[in-house]
Amino acid sequence: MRRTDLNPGRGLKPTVLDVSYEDVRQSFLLRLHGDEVRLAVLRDALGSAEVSPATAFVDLEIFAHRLRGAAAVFDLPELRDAAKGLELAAAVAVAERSVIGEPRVQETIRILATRLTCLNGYTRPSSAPGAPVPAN
Amino acid sequence: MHPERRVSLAPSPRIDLNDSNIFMLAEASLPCRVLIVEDDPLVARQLSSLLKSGGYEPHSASSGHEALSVLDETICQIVITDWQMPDMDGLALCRQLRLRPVDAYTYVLIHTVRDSTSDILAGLAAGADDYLIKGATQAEILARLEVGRRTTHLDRSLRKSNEMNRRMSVTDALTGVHNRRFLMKYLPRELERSRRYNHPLAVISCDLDDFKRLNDEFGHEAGDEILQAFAHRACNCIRQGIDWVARSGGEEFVIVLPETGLSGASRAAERLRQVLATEPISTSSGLLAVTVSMGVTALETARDLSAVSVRELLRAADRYLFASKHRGKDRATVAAIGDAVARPGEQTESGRATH
Repeated sequence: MRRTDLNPGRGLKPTVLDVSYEDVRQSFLLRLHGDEVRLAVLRDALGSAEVSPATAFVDLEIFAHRLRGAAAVFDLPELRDAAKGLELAAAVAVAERSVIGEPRVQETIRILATRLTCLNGYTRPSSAPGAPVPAN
Repeated sequence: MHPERRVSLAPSPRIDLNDSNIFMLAEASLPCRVLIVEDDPLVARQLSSLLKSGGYEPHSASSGHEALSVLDETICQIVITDWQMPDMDGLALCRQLRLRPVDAYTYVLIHTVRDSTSDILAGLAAGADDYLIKGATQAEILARLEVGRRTTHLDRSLRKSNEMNRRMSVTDALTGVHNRRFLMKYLPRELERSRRYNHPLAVISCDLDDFKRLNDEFGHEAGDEILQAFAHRACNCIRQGIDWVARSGGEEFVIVLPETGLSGASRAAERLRQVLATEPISTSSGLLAVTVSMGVTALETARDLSAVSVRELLRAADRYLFASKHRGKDRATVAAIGDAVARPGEQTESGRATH
């Protein structure tokens, strides 16, 4: 079976001692809905006249870093990598004082948004449990 | 009076030399407390759940500043901290922890998604003991924590052992009171403090009467029991936490009484003499009547405090002790430090001769 974010690979299963691991992980998956919304807000902020470009990039970087860390902990490697891509792109934009619409940032936002949409499609109540998640 | 002045410099005079073994057993059964420093509540919950399953006692904080506050209140053997957090990040927390004076080592494990070699080096350079990249298996996290548990357990055992060794080095193994080394180390400090505050300081030099005869007649075991009983009674005749007793030789003891003048020391000596003279000591050879001779002196004036050394103080107390022996034993000869030779009318005697 192909390893995907919701189909963890070897060694990533919870131990028998940790009975609530799945509960916490489910909470994390549900939180991804809010992250999808938050990412859209941050993307809109990049083009907003009310938010300075530097602030918008920093907010993106912090958001992506948090998502990257949590995705790693909850064993979602594809989401982790997508978040890492955005975090690094945002960091470069901050360092280089890039202008709004910097193509690399927009591209990484698109990749991360796709991942979140896929995961959220999977985790919505109407989704069939165990259904495979599309690759990026 | 300032409370600091009323407390003796000397630690508790009686210790159980088997404490270290008890400590080891108690330590092994204690839960290992782990402080999780993580700004993502779900990650913190996940770690907390894992730690509980591993037999740890998790505590949590969402930032470096909060972690320091928690550590002010709760001793945690291990800190597992995220790197990037609001206000104080994980590396700053590490540096702060290493700057704090502590009674026990805190094992710090950085748990972050930052995975470059330079990040790992920076984390360890900040004072972390280990570095774990987020996404590690639960088995690996528990294994790394176990290293921390072992390390901190060893650290506490060593510290406790060192403390026990230090105390044993200044404690008389037979009687549990302080030994001569302690006397010669702490009596100068008591004298220095008395000088600083211009407060009196008294010493009582004690020698058990006819101890050699008792030892020869009833055996060493009885002799040891006599010494132990005397030390016990002496400790009960003085103010706890202020005065202290040291065994200065075979059957010789010195009692140090800070903040005490000649009259107070005289009363303490008479209490001890009476307790010993009226209550025979129970030994394996039966009840034995034991008496003690004492020499009591004190530094009461600023002039005496500044002019007299520790050796002169002890020598004077010994002189008055010999006077007690010379005059028939079972008594205390009390005299001011300046009295080179005890003269009638200038010394107070208690004991058999005056009762």
